Amino acid sequence: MTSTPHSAGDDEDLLVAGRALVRSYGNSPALRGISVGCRRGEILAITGPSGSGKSTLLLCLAGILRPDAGEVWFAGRRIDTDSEADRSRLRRTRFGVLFQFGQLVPELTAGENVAMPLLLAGVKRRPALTAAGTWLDRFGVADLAAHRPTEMSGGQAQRVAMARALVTEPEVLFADEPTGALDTLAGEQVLTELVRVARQAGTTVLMVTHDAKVAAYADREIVIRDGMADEGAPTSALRGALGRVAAR
Amino acid sequence: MALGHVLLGLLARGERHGYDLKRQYDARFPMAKPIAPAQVYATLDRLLRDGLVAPAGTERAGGPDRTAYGMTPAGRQELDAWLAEVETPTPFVSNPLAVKVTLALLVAGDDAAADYLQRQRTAHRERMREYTRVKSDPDTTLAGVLAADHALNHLDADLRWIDTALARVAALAEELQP
Amino acid sequence: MRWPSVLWLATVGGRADRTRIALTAVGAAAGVVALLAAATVAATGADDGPYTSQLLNEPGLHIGIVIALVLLCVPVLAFTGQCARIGAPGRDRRLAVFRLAGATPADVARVAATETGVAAALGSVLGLVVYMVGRVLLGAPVAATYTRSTEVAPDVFVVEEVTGRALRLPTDVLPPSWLIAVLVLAVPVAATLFALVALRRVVTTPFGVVRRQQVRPVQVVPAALFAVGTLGMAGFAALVQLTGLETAAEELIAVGFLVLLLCTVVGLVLGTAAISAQVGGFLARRTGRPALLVAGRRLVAAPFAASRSNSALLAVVLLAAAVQGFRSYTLLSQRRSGTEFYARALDAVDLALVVAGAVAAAGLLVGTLEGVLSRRRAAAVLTAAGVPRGVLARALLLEVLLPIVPATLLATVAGVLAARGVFGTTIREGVYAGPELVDVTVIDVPVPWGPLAVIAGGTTLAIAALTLLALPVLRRSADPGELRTA
Repeated sequence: MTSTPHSAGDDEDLLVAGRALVRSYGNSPALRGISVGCRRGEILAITGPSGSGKSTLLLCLAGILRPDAGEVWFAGRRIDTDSEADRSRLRRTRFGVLFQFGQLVPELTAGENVAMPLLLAGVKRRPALTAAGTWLDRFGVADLAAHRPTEMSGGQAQRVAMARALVTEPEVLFADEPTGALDTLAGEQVLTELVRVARQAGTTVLMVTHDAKVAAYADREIVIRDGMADEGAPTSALRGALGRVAAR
Repeated sequence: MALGHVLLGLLARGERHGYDLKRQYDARFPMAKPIAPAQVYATLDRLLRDGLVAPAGTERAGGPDRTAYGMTPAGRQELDAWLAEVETPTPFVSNPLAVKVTLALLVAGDDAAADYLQRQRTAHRERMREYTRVKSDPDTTLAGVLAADHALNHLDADLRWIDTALARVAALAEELQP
Repeated sequence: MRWPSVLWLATVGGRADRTRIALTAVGAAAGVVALLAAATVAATGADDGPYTSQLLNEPGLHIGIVIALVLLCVPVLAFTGQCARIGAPGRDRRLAVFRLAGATPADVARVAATETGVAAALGSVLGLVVYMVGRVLLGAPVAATYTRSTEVAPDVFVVEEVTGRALRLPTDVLPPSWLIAVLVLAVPVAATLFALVALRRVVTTPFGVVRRQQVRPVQVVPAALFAVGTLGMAGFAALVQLTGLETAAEELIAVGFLVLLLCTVVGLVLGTAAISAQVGGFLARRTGRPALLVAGRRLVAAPFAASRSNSALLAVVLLAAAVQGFRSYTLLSQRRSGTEFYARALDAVDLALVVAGAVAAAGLLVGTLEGVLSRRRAAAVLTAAGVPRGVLARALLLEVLLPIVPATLLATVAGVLAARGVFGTTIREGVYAGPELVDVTVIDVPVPWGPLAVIAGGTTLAIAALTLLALPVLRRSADPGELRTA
């Protein structure tokens, strides 16, 4: 499978798509007109060297960042032109987000952290905590429900974060280096459970990683280099380089 | 990996019949290159000759596949010595992939080389996905998981080596640029 | 760490740092002006003036003004010291790189305190300039009617009203030069010391994480202290009688009172932390509202976070309530002989207290901002996960108000009880028929409910309003740029 984002006639199948996205931080460009697409139920990995714009792409597709130019589409609707309030609502009801670290409120217990999206949706405390407990159980950390994030290991905290991201049964899960801060086995556990739960529920997953072994858990992979999709065509720098070296 | 040592290792837990040893080998090393039964029996004969194994029963009934073998004390010593040895990390790159990538970068034209590298990387990633599926399958034995891990790490190393080779070529070309 | 490097690192910085330096300088300038004013009043004698205000005309009253002005400096300087704790992201990163290069936490604290010192020095000079210019600008005499008492014979005073030219402020008096120099130098030194104390428990790790060591608040001791102090002051008169100290020296009684006052204030301050932890935990365990949940748990996790800022404000509230009680008593007891002087004097005191309260509230705002900035990554992540801005804003408001509202009420009650305890809840007035005492009437001193409500309510509203000022900073701190990992 190649990394072409979408072919003619495919567009309707794409659940999440970005077209010609451009985004800069100050003077340094992070995205230079990249287009990507992801089908419903697919697990897509976005890889590339550090500084290539992977995180920025993910943040744009999740509606957290507004691109400077280009369009972001979700479920057939354009979302980059939505207000912050609308995108916020989208993120707490139909999306889930998972970061490398530091995403749980340190003062709340694991159970309260996982219940938070439900509480925001208006669910009462008791049913919310019960549902949170169920999700914690699915990830094998039910006994940590009353503990604070500072009282657990990185792998455990990441599993709590996963439970929090999935508790509203979102349609799309956006993950940025979900195992980046974990050692091999802990990371593997997290990924295996993530994939298992996502497949069960039919959740679409967009995962940013620099690790090829993590990307291997996905159905498809998109490589980003310097803010553009790497289709394998030689860059102009490489083009000249190969010629010069060959001539020696 | 010398087959003789592997068979000694498989006999460490107790006596086995010849056909049993072949079965055990296939079960424990599912990812390895398959070996012919004849190879197993030939090796058993050699071990017998060298005094490292001995028939368990008093008679050799039928052929080597029907005979039960057991390890001798000499065999035990040999096995322990081999297990204690460190495998020399080989500096010799006989891996065909490494050779081909190097040649591609130095000899082929830009487009051909880049095209080959892209297809090679895609093939690697596809294989990695396969091994990952095996690893995630709850039915896979521990041996299978370990073998899959090993393969994945090597494939990952290959991918990174390809990336580094490209980067080195690009850096070298920058130096050469007038 | 060598001093030149410390100085250089202290002055390098961006816009947020400049704001912090500006705030510190303003605080220092205000402190210097207040101190110089106090020195000026102290240097004013019976030969100077005349002034429009009775307070200034009578040298015996000067001591009160001087004390008030000096006391006013304390919250001002504490505020400037607290500014050192505003954690601007840029400075945190700078200090973190610093630590990676091998600086110790003490070095880092020294750099931050030096920045305060330098800024305060600038402010000091600015304050001196303001004072000097103010002397000239406000030094024009006006036509006014003022009272003056002249000693015609030993211990016999004639109080007369004079209409003529008088000065509004003692701008004709200049304190001795050495005193001016000492005060101008003392302010930056004091500000630096306050900064060092304020940073005592803050540690910047090499990874830029600003960590504060937390201590669990004890509940029994503060409650006991507060109860003992308040009840002691409430029944002070009776207490004095009971212990037979009536006949003891005035100083002894005053000391006794001060001890009780100290007990109350300390108990109140420590108790606020315990109260916030208890209230926060209680609410957090029962609520389903996200803002309340987060605020409650934050109070449990860091009950002492706002203690420093709260204590200054609570002390001011307590004093204000006590002054109201005193005012109520005085206006009643002096109504026959004329309350105007006292009313005006008390108004001036009220004004000073309002100013002190404003400074203390500003200190509270600084503390709040510091908390907001130190939690910016958490805010960014929560926003990314779809938590609405309103929830974060409400959580902040609750976190600030939940501890301060009950504490303000307690401080108000303690203050007014203290005043009533010392001066009495009733006054006895004689009814004369000619020169003979015919009857004694006992009149109740009214509890000044109105002013007390204004104090308690006004403080709460002021804090709420100031916290609203922190909300834009909160919004900007939830910046998705914090979330980039690759």
